[in-house]
Amino acid sequence: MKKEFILLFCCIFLIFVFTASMVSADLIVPGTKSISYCFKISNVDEYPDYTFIVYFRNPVGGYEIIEQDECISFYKFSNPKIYAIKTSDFNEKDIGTNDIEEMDYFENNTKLIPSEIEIHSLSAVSLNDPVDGIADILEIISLDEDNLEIKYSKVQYTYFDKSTEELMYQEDDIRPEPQEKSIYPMFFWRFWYLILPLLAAVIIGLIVLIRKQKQTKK
Amino acid sequence: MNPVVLHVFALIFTIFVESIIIWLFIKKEPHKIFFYAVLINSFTVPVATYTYQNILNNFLFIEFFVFILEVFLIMLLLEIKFKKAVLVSFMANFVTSAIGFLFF
Repeated sequence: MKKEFILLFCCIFLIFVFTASMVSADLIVPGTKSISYCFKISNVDEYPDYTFIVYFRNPVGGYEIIEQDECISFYKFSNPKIYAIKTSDFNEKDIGTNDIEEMDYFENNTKLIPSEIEIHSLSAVSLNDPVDGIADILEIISLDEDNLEIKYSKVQYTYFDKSTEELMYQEDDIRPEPQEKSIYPMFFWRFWYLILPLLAAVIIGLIVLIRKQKQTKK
Repeated sequence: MNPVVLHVFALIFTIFVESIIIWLFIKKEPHKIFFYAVLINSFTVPVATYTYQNILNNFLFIEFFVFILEVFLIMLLLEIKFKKAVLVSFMANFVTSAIGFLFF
């Protein structure tokens, strides 16, 4: 019997050694899940004389022309910056074909009107979070030759059951919390992960203990 | 499907399938075998789902961990030898995880 227990212990120990190294190499933090994030501008068509561009400064550059209601996704560390430019002044070929030309275009082109809005992607949430996707809806507040003001207008949450919810931003940059708070109700969470296995372990322990007592009596 | 219902359904399903497999190896006292399957799976299934969701997102490792744990529990509860417990646990977990992998 002792040999078997040593073998079992060795197997369990090996699993923990393997799992520990795998957890640290995993990109998704345990206990979290990845979600989709994108943003869109709701009133691009109110400014027909302008072209709106988002430039992804990090890590390798890239840009996208923003179309009405098109939801734009990006790599979480991209640090996107939104610009407007008069369509008459815009020629896509001027941006260039490599990262350096692109950076030069977006940092030194005086015809570009930069927005100060900061857009941060959210890529992971807790596993018990019902949210599967977030879409921020931005709105152009004002635009003239020197200034482009964009504000957060609404957020659209997509839940695990594919239902959606749209909430208004009350304060700029502070995303309103979703109404649905968790996938599993708290009572189930406690019962499933604590009470049920604990109860089973206690009963198993009792069965083994009673058997041993009976054996010693004999 | 509602995730709570899915969890409960998966547990009940696992208990029934493992009871049948254990009974195929140890053809006696089916009600006792069923009771032991309830106990074993009420312990291993929540531990496995918690580990999968919070510690390690790796189906095969979790299944292997459950297999080892069940060898120990089957040996204790059914009072059978180590080799037989390994075989029973392997078959039970192989079948349930294969079904789980295909359908859930």
